[in-house]
Parts: sequence; C-alpha cells; structure tokens
Amino acid sequence: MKSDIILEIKGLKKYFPIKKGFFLREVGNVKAVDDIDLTIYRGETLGLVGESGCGKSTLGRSIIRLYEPTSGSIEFDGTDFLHAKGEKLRQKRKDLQMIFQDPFASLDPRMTVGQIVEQPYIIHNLLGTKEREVRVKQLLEMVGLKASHVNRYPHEFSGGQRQRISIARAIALDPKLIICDEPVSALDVSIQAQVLNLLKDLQKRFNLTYLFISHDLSVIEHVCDRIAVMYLGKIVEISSRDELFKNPKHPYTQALMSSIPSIGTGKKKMSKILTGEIPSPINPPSGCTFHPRCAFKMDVCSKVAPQLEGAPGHLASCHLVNPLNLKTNTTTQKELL
Amino acid sequence: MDPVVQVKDLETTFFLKSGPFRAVNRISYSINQGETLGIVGESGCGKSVTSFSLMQLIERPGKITNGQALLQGQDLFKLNKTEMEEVRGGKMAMIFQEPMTALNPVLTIGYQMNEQIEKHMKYNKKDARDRAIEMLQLVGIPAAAERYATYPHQLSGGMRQRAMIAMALSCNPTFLIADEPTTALDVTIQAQILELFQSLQEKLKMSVQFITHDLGVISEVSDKVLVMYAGAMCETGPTQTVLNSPHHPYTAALIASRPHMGQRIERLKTIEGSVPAPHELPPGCPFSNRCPRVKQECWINKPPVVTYPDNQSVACFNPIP
Repeated sequence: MKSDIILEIKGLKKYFPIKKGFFLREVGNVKAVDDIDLTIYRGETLGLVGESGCGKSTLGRSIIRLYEPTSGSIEFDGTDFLHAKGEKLRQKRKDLQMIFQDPFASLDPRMTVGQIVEQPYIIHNLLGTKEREVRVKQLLEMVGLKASHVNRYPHEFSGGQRQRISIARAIALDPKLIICDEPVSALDVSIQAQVLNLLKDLQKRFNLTYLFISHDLSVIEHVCDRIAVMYLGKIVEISSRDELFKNPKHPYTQALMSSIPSIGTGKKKMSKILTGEIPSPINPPSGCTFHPRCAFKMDVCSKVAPQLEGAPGHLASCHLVNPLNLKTNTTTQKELL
Repeated sequence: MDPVVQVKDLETTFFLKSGPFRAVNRISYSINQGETLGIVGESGCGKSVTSFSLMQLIERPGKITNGQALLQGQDLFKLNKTEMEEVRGGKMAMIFQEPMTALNPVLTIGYQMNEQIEKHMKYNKKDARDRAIEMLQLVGIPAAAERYATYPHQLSGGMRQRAMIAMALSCNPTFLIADEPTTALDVTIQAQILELFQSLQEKLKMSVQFITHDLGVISEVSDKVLVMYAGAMCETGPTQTVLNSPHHPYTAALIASRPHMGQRIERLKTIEGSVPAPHELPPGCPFSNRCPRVKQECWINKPPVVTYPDNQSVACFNPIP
C-alpha cells in the first residue's frame, strides 16, 4: 500500500481572520486547520474523524481549494496543486472531486438531474451532446437510479437518492480522489447503509481513493483503511484501522471510542468520560490543546505542545505516549522536568 | 401500582389537501414510575408527532382523532385549554431536539425559566430566581448565577441543551418527554448529557419517554422500547430483549443496517427502497413493500399483534421466530 502516494500535504494551515471595528482591522485568527501533514495512498480510504468545529471539513475544503489555504503545500498526483493556476489547475481539478454533507443544499433546485450530472462535462468541454446524454444515463444507473430520472428535479427525490445524484456527479469525470464530507450523516440508518455500500462498490470498480470525513466512528470503522483523528485543527493520532481500534494511544481517541453508545449491551451507567467542551480555536489552550479536558494531564502538557510522532504507521501527539526526549536537552525542558 | 402514563389507541391525523394522512396510527403504551420508554424509528415514522400529541401541541391541519392519554389517571385529551396549560410545563415537560430554535433568542435564559417557575410553582420573583439558578447548577452549568442572565446564543450547543433540561425539570415533572435531546450534539457531549440525564432521573424518579433514531442511545438509556414505522407500532418490549432477539423484520433490518463497532463486515445489510410517502402507503402492513419476509396477506390486511413471553409484542403476519 505504501507504494504509491496520491496526495501529500505538508504544514497546511488555514486561518480565518477575525475583523472588527470601523476599519475592519484584523484582531485575531480562527486557526481552523493548524499545521497538518497528511499522506493519502492510492486506492485507500483515509478516514478523518473529529467533533464539530475541529476543522475536518475545513481541511477537506482547503485540499480542493474551495478555501485558499494560508500556507503549506499540497502535492496531488505528482503536481504542486496549491500553486497550480489556470488551465493546469482546471485539468487537475478533474481528478479531485467532492461529495458534500447536505444533499438538499448541494444540488441546484432549478436544474434537472440530467443537467446536474452533465455539468462537469460542459465545464471541461468533453464529449458531444449525444454522447453526454448516453453517459449521464449510464452514470445514473451506476449509482442505483433509473435512466428515466434525467428530467426530474432534485426536490422529487428523497435524501438518499439525492446523495446518489451527488455521487454520480462526483464520479462523472473519472476522478482519482474523492473527498467525502460527511456523506451519510444527514441520512436515516437504513439509507445510510445503502449509500455506504454504493461508495464501496464504486471504489472497487473504478479504483477510487477516498478521503472520508465523518464524526461517526462506527461509520469510519466500517469504510476506512486508515484513520486520522482531529482535535482543534490538528491531527492527534493517525494509524491503520485495526491498530487504532485495538490500541488507541491518544486519550482523546480513547474518550471518543468509549463515548459511542453500543447496541444490546444493556442499560449502562454512563461513565464520566470527558469533561468540558472543545475550546475556542481563536485562543487555543497553550501546550497540548487537549490538556484542559484530559484525564491524564501532566505539568508538561500545558507548557509544551506535543509532536505527532511514534512508530511508523501509528503516530500520536501526546506526552504520555512519547515522553519528551531528554537527550535534546533544551533549557526549558530541563526546567519542566 | 398503576403506570404513570398510559396511552391507548392514539391516532393523530393530518387533514391535507391530498386527503387525510394518519401520522400516528393506533399506538398504545404505558410507562411506570422511574421507567424510561424509548421510541425509535426513522424520520417521518411519527415518533415526534406522538409526543406532540401528548403535549397537545398539534396544530391545524393536524388533529388527535382517537385514543386516550392518561397521566396519573387524568385524561389529557379531555382537558380544556387552561387546564392543559396547568399540566404542560408543570407535571409534564418536554425537551426539544434543537435547543436553538426551542429557546426564545431575545429573552435571557433566566427570564424564560422564571416565567415557568412563577406560573407552576406559584413562587415570587426572588424565589423563582433562586430555583432557576439551583436548577442550572444541578445540570452542571458552571457559574450558574452569571449564565442565568445570558441569552441562548451566548451558550454553546451542549450548554444550551443543559439549560433546556434545567428548564424542563424546574417544576419537578412526573413525566418527561425528551425528543431527540442529543441528536444535535457531538458524541463526547452526548455522553455527558446522557449521563446527566440518568443521574437526574434516578434522583427525581421521573417517568421518561425518550425519542431517538439512534439504536445505540436507546440501548443505553431505556428500559422498554417501542419501534415505529410509518406511524404504526412494529415491535415493543424490554429493550435488551427486543434488540438482542428482534421478531419484526423491520427491527431486525434496522439493527443489521447499522455498522457495529468491532464487527467487520464487507457489506452492510440494507433495507431496499425507502419509507413510502403518505399517499403511497400500502393498504396492508406499511412495511410490506420493503419486507424480505412478505406474504400474500401482508399486502391486504393489517397485521395482528403477536405476543411473546417477556412482554414482547410484534405486529406482523410472518415474524422472525
């Protein structure tokens, strides 16, 4: 699996400025994505999990450049995607598609399903009118809709069917990487299962790579090969699925896993898992951003920010997992320990 | 001991232009003191309409067309408007799904709580304020006296939901309806709220009707469960019995379609199709067009209720043995 890297992100940052006053002076930044390194291999599904406001959607949108990242680098399929311009960017964008969370907001209500799915071909000036028509019908059937649906409008479809339309649009140009931003969280459980199965089938058929963003760990566990856990704009742990679920290292990952209600185990006394809430990303806590909520807090946690490190394949950013290395021996660390 | 809440043959109909639509179809259940009934189902199955019916918050063109709802022996549907106002918010309270839309954005949290406490508990202004602050402390809001004077938008989602719970509990209700109280929240906050909920229920000995679409949450908070589909009851019984050995095909399919932690399967089981629209409901069993165990008679007649040991009952012609 390590053989082939499709996307490599280094030091990606996205800060949203906060402007106040008459002259709209910049008074601070919301650090939505704060210095993230991430690698996605060809053909895999990388899961990105975290609570609302942790920056997982912002990361997805920054990769596809719906938000212009503040700094960092994005290398997509061998090219510098972040600095690509004009025609080159347009060509590359074909290979990078996105499925959004809300199937009610992401489809134009005034366009028919056929027009929506045809749109990518028009934008990129591909195929003739006749061929497009045939292709659109094929795509609709591929995602489990009927070819006769082309002339209907989005409001005539249920949530699950609309998400299928978004999927048809996303795969229209034979992309290499699809960013799925909470594709099933707006759907009912029985419909959720249908869409997850469809995504898996399409992945096999077209050898797709997914970046799968979700807040639901049980969905993430079902679809992903590798999982990255985000907290307050940073990745706190990343590992293969089996390793992460067997041996979660970061206290936040552990808390997240034990917060998930499970079926049929009986009415249980909820244990106190995490106290407090996600702090504001405008003024993140000093040191490790998780320390105000962490049960294993040490003195060092509020002072030194931990690095994402560990054995290859399983990285975590926590002082408990990776004790500060005394050999580097800076004065500050000496004082602390 | 008589159950605190008894609902019999509840039927709520919406009189739409396209014809009458029965959102709740002959639902019956009872809840004992200190017990939690979980109502589970997908969107549009009528679980929220059931609660709104009990609170008598159904507005035109909707109408309660049949049935009884007894709260400690008193039939809620026979009360007039003023009598119902006495009960609502007093003996019987409700927590709504979206705390941002359920709270009034232009009034402070304290003002909204006071209003209710003064009305139902007949407290004066000062006592009501003390009571409100006491409740805010009880639900774990830090610096309660300061939060008392804040507006809903100044609180985070979790804190707002706590304020909602404080408000609902401020007049010592005997019966509490919680309509998806944690759906809008993150998992870690959800765990906090559920924990708070359980400890308060133990302390106050309330009967609770807990509505959610999340089977995991149901499993962890409720004693009994009622599974609904398209306005009708599918299956009811003790929560763990129903979830571990479901007899209705819909309950079984619902459980199977949810990815389980720790269980790796290549493909999830799905329920083909989707919930039928109101005017497309099949004449027989509402689930017949999606059911894998469908038989001839399912299409024509309403299914009978089959009872199993351990108080589990199922509305089906061909239940899973």
